[in-house]
Amino acid sequence: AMEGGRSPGPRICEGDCAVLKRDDVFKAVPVLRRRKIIFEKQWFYLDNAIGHIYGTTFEVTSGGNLQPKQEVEETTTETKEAGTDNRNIVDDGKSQKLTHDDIKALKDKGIKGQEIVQQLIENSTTFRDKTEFAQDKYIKKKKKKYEAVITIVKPSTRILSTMYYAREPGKINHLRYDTLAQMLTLGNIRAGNKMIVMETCAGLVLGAVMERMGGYGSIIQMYPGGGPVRAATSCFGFPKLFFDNLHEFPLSKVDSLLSGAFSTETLPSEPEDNALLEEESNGLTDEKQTSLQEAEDESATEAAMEISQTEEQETMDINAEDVEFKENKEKENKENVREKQRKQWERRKKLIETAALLREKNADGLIVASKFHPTPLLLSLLEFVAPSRPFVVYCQYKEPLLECYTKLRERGGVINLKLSETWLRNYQVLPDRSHPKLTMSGGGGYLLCGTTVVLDKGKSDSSSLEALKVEEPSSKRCKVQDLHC
Amino acid sequence: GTGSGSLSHALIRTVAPTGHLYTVEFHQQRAEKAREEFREHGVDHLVTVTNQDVCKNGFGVSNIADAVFLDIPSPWEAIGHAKSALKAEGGRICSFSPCIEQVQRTCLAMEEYGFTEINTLEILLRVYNVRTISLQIPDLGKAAEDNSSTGFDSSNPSNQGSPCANLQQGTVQFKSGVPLREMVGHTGYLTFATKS
Repeated sequence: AMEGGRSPGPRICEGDCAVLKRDDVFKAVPVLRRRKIIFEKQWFYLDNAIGHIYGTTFEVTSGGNLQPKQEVEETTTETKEAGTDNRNIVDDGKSQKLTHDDIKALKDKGIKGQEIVQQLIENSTTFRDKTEFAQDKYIKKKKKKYEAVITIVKPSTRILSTMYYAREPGKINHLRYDTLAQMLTLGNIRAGNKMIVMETCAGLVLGAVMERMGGYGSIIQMYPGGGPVRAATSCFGFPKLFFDNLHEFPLSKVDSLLSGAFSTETLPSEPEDNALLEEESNGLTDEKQTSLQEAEDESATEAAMEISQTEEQETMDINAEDVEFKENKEKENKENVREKQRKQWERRKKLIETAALLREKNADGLIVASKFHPTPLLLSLLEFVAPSRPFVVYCQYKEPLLECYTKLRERGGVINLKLSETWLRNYQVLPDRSHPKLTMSGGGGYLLCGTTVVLDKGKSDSSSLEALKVEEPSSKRCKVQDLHC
Repeated sequence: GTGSGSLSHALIRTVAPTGHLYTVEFHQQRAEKAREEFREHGVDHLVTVTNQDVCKNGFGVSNIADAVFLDIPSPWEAIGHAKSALKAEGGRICSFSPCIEQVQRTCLAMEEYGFTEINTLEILLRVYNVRTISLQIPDLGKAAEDNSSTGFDSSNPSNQGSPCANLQQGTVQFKSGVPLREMVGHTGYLTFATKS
């Protein structure tokens, strides 16, 4: 039999993004020394956690330091005195003999949470009259309040998606974690794919896709505005090589790319660069290329500002001895300007490379999860996807997907369209006390998925609009020899 | 619980190319059929099928699994084996059972074996058909003897756009995501836990 070593697993390192967990509450934090963290009404430093294995549970000591929690034997009394029902238990709020001050005094003395819970039980006049179930519930509740233990866990899609949905659902368009799971499966996200991802979910969806792909294949992230948001992506702690094949492309250039008019502005730059640019550029168009233009204007102004600042400095330093200093300063500023232009050139180069990747129109799939209306996104981005590939669109609301469905039918080139949502129901499972806890339905968003096919521009699908029949039969058998891993 | 191998294929897809799936099936013919299909599909290098009873003899591996999935009639009997197959820290387990009684026994076993974060849930997939629906406008008669229109006036600009009214036919049209008449209600409960 194959044996794994008993190697303990990854350790908490300085600089990591770690997730603090207490029961069902999660919070992502950077692991930095002497950085005060506030979590679940407690404040502490993470210094002592560094070097421990992820998954370790800690207690917060007075002074705000973390200490690994000792494994303590649960004290089980031999015969638990308990009642049969609550008919004689009066809830007058007076059954607990310890006052707020008493409890505070215990806490200040440094008495451990477990001991405090024990004290509360002993000082409760009604405890032994409660049923066993009620006693259990009481103990659980007190433990939750007084035994403040924190587990430090390694980020993953599961943990981060749960965290975001609970803490900042607005940032992820209320994408619930089960919906995200569906997207990964429906989209057939796997190593080796060339994926197109368009999301405004703080980079969570991108991270989930990257996790599945394990560094294999490539991803082109389409982004609105000036640049992609990858706040959540950085929480995953992916190795650097995962980012080697992560590209980005501005949405504002998509139309020009599709029409063939795409080019990058030629700006005065290093002589050797002009040759490259002339090669790639189709010549200037009337079209306003907003973001790139802005970026270039910005750095040009910055360079100009730096030069004028230098000039100011020069007029102040009239001392002849500073001639050498002045010469060095001039050299430095020229280098700064060159560096900025070099960076600009790098960015432009990447943009051209990414445009070329898109132009191949052979992506293995498309994922859309954004605050924007999905229809225009889908109609353009599908152009970059190869035929016979899956696409998945997430929307917080159903109606835009109804429209998307209709427009896709008109466009053609897609089959097996399916509009769905998932309902999630949690259960309490305890002996003689099992029942559903909570239902989350309607609050997790909706998905529209389908498969691309070769677009036959001759046929129009508008005739089928009026007679929207049952979904076309899905291909039950796919040719085995066409599958490759 | 390999069975048809459907889930196995999905898992292989997910862990390829550097991962591996160890799947156990106690029915000899099913195990053999699964091996055959993995071969045909070109994924046999990513999976090992073992023909044995996982409840009695485990998975054939120890301390290496990142995750274990159980789809068998008596999962509580395999919890101990699942635990030893899982890596030392942070491994995840999921058990799928149609009956709540099975779930209860499994949760108890998980607790006894020291699993944490034990959580049971179920997921229901709701599919919608996109349909254009026409609803008839009821005839509420006329308020007065003159010809002023009453009730829903489709020439009124505020009623333009969607929904669009067809005064000739007296209908209003709109797009709807209509639930299927019969949808899958329940397949099974999913119980997750962590080995920590």
